[in-house]
Amino acid sequence: MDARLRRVNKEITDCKNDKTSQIKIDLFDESPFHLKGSFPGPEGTPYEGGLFEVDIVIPESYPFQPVKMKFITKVYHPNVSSASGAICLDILKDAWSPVLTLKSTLISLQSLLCSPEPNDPQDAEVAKHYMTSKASFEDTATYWTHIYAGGPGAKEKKDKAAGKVTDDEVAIAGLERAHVDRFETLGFQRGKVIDALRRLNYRGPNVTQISDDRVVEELLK
Amino acid sequence: MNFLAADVPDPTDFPPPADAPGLRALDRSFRCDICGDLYDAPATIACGHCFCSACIRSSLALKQECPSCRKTTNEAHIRPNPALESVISSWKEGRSFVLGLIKREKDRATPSSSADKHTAKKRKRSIDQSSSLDAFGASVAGPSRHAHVLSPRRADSASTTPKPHSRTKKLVPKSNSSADATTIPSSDIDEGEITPPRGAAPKEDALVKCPLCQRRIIYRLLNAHIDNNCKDPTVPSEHNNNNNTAKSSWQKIMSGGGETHSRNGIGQHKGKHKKRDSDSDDEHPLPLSGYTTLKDRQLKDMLTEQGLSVVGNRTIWEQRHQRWVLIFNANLDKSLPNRKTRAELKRDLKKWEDERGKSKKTLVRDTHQYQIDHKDEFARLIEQAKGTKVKQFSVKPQSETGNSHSLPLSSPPSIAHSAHSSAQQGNDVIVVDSEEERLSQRR
Repeated sequence: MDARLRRVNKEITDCKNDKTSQIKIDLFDESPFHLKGSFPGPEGTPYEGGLFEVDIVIPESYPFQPVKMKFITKVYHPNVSSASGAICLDILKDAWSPVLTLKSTLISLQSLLCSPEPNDPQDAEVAKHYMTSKASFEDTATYWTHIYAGGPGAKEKKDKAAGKVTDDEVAIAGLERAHVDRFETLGFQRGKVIDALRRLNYRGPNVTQISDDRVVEELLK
Repeated sequence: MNFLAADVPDPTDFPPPADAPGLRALDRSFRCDICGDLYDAPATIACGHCFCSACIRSSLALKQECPSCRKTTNEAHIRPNPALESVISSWKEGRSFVLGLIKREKDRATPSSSADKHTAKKRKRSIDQSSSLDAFGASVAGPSRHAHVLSPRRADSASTTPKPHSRTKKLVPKSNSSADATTIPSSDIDEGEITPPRGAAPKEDALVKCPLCQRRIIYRLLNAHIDNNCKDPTVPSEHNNNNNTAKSSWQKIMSGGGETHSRNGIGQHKGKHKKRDSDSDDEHPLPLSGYTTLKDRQLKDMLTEQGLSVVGNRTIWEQRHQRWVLIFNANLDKSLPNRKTRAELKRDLKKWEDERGKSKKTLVRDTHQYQIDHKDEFARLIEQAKGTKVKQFSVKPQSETGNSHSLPLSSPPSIAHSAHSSAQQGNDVIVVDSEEERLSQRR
């Protein structure tokens, strides 16, 4: 058994024996070098209550090269691509060190969810959303946690604003339903309106800054 | 899942701190943070962090900082840690003994139900360890105190376990690897490694011609001479007394004379790397090289200088030389009695190359079945080979190259031939088989 396999084996055993961290590592198939990690969303964040799964690929020169990780679960986070799940985290790139383990890396991902870095974004639209209106961003992140990561989501947390999150598409895009409706009545398709408003980051204080003409222009593109 | 069931010793072999305070932490502190194994040639760097010498060298080759604290450091800061090394070798023995004691203690506390608490893996592991312990106790037959402690269950378990076997495997890796030396077919090792049959070897004091520089050298000193790049062997060894070196230098001066003890041409290559009784010229670490500025020729020379094979392409040469320098230098961080010989290191290098190649090559176990299964492919390849014969294999089979690499030699000659030719061009082949290795070395 080569050193890499021995180390992976040890890391999985280590995770199994550690009951406190709540981090799990499972096999996808027979391959020991393609794994599935999972961890609960950190408390006190929009991700609380969700279970986040991560696709782990262990490269040939592990542990001297970083593991490749990306989210399987869709996450609304400035440093995670909302489309592909790709993660922007220094230790997965040039700040990797061979003493880091699968467990410690997954813990780092967990703490990345706690502390987004919008200035070094993976997903620029989400990062803009975060910068523009943190409250609105958090609503959307909570919604995503609810529908994709099995979190308790908006229902319990946001009784007061229940009306806001009834519409899936609008909530996923992190937009206000009223805005979407307004442009839809102008005769545009609902899906197109959502796309355009998302691209323009039509949220929070931006709503007053972006003129309706600008939105229509974007819609007619 | 079978790889998870494999028995890899790690700190969780010991009970949690609540049951056995300190043992897990102790075992963990004896392990390298990079590979997770017990330190092999522990080496300390400037910041005081400790790793296996080979591990930290691999890491520094990529990034010059301490993996633990990220302080800038480099190869020059690596210092061997002999104190820790001896601690580790003692712990390797003590570990299984302690585990056996724990197992026994547990069995005594809960006579029948203890097994229920453990997973299948744990159970397997602890049984292994207890049996190895029994073997240990039985074969040492040493201090009466131990025998006394172990006595209640010794009789039955010792009779069921093959006793010296598990012990030698677990505790004495060196003897294990020397056993390998006899079982590994000589064709696995490059040509220079082949030890001549006892009868054919010249006498220790006989004069032989150095195959590299053609100077005449005492056979006994030949290896030292070659390893010293054919420079005058100063041989400051503890094994060679002054008398011998004086004699050799005199003989060198006088060597202009006739070839009284000359051997024929074939014989010259033999025994070039016969395992030496003196590793004294291996005391100095090899320098790290930047390969980008080197010409192919120079790189090849560097490999032959170290007695390494020159099979494969340039990328493989670079990797091979780099790895060789790494394991060679790491070996020097071990204390003298624990060091491996050059031949053992070369076997390690070979194993490393094989393991890297394995993911790219598919291993064919049942060659006969393989031939039946791939009959169509073979037939097509034969046709293709016949067609391209005229063009000197300028068009190589596109999709089948991966398969043909792993063809057994027992396959039809024409296929073997085509496999051979594509293997020569293929980048992903490290060593296809010994015959090709020999062929390409002669080229």
